[in-house]
Amino acid sequence: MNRQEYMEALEKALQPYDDQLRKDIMDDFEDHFVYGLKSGHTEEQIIDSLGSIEEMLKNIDDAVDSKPVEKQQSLVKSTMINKVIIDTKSAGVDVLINQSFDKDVHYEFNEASSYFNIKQSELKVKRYVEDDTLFITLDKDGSDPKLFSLFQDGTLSVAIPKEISLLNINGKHGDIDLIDVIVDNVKIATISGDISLDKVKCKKIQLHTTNGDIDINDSIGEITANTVNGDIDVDECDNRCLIVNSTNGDVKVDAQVEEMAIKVVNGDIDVCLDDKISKLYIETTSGDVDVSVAANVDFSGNIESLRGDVSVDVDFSYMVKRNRYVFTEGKTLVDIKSLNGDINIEQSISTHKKNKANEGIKKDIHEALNVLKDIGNLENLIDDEELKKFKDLMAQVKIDIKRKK
Amino acid sequence: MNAQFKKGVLELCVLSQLALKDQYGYELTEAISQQLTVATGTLYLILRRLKEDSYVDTYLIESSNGPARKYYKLTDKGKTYQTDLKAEWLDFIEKVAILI
Repeated sequence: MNRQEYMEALEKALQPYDDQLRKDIMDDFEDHFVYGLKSGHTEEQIIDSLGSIEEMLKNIDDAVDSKPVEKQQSLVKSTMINKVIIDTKSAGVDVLINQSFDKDVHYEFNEASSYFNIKQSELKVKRYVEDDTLFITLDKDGSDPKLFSLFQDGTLSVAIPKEISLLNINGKHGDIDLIDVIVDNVKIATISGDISLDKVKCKKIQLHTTNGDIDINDSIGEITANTVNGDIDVDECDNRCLIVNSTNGDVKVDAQVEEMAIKVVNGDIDVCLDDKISKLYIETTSGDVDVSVAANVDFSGNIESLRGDVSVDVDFSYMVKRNRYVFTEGKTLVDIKSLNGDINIEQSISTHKKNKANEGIKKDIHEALNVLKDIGNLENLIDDEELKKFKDLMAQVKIDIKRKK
Repeated sequence: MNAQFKKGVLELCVLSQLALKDQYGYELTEAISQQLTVATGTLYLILRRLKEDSYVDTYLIESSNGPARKYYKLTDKGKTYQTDLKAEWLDFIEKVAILI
């Protein structure tokens, strides 16, 4: 192929595209030949370096369609939908779920403006309905395994109607967020994404992530949360039942729970519970356990660490047998055990006790103030050395008061 | 090499070359193809896209021996974009270097 043939083939190949694009590229290539020849290259060498026209056509869509962000928006208008199943396949897509403002399912996919402008638009949202179930999946048009699937590809936002029976999400690398959702059952599984629930009302919630964290805030339901390497944080929740498993992550719970079971191998556990708790099971291998319960809670059961220290600071009675603390008279059933970790149990002070303690502090302060007033008068009565001693003593009292506060 | 990845890198190379100085097409494609095996035709497509997105602009300079030269230059937007991409790239290769 010579220069003329190449340019003719190029012009033909560019026929479907608009005039401006065709002219720009033809001019560029024409110039390229002129300067190439002048630099001493042959037509053949220049054609070789420009590359085949087929190769170029593969890339031409990039030159035509230059929008960095692509939006795919849709709506499923159906009152029949009772289950929603979302599968992001292998894509690094974040999933965001919230409440639909009407009875329909709305969803849109916002492609990330990608790393190095690498277009990832082979991702397409596909959906189909089978009986009462809506399936939403992200499919790739090409089968080309992507080097860049480790980067975030975009966000799939789905708004679901109130009180459907099941929401099931399968993710891989992306994060999954549920905000303001009311559903009977939620099932979420992902590999390296975080899972976060905020203001979610459910009967049953099942969460699983291998490397991500799980964050549950202000939500209601029976929760099962599993992670291998991530941390789990449950805050301000009202749960009848909470089951938490983690191998290496830390677990933190500050919630109203009736029955709770936590099993962790290497992570630490930090639990703060109110008087709703009726059954409490905690097991760790190497992590430490910190439990704080409301004032009117009492235990029946065992607390034991084989090699760690156990410290118990509660108002109700117990017996100590070696490393084991045994409770027999309480209402809340407990079983807390660790192999190597320390266990620390404490009871938050009741309001009554708090008031009493506050009264005591007030009295101390009052007395101290009276004494301080007198110091001015004392200066005339006692010698310098004694005055210094007295001042030191008062300084100490001040510190003590501060500490009591 | 992954085609998409290569395209992204080429774009950074084109932008960075233009950050050094304004260049006409042939000059630019020569500079890049000296270092990387690349179909130079693709580079013109990249230039065209960058122009479309107003990262680069063109101007003509009459030449005594040959056609008027179409020079490519970075716009202000292009300069910012090049700086960002470069930083992203440096960060990326640093992390990859740790992993491989």
